[in-house]
Amino acid sequence: MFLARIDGTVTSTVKHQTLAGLRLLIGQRLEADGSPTGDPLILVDTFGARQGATVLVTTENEPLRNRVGNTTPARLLVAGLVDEVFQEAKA
Amino acid sequence: MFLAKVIGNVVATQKSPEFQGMKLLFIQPYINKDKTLVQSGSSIVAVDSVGAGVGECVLFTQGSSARLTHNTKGAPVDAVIVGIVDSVEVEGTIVEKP
Repeated sequence: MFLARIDGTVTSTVKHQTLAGLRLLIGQRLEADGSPTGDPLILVDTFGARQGATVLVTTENEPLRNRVGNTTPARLLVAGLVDEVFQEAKA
Repeated sequence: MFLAKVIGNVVATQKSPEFQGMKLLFIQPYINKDKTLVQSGSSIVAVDSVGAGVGECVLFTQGSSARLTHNTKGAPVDAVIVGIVDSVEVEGTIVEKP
C-alpha cells in the first residue's frame, strides 16, 4: 500500500462495463516528506474521499473483483482515509 | 523480500473492514550500494505481522504473497512486514543498518 493525495474526480461515460457506477478519483502518490511522486493515478473509491484528502491506496483489488467480477481492469483501490501519519523526527 | 526502515505509523479510522486491528507502518525501502544500505524508491505503507516499531530495520514482502501471513488473510493487503533484521552481512562485512 502507499499514501496518495486526492486531486479530483474523473468522469467517464464510455468505459469498461465493470466500472459502471464506481467513483473514480485522480490522485498522486506521496513520498514520506509529503512531496508528490510518479504519474497521476486513477483510483476506485468507496469511502467518498474528498479533494486534498490523504488516502491509503492498495494494489490488491480483491474487494473489487468480489463486487464486480474477475474481469475488471481496475487495479488501484482506496483502502482507507488517513487521519494522521506519525513520523520519526529527522536527525 | 526487501529491506526497509520503519519511519512512521499511519492512522486511518475509516478503512476497509478487513484492516480492523492491523498495525500500519510507514516504511522506506533500502538497497545495498557499495556495502552500505541506501534509500531506494518511494515510501510504502505495510501491515506489521511481527511487532516492529519506528526506527527498526525490517524485512517486508510485496504483492499477493503479502496476503499469506496469519494476520493478513483475506484482507486487501499488498505489503507486509515479515521480520525484524538483526544484522546484514555483504561480502564478509557487516553493513550498517539504516
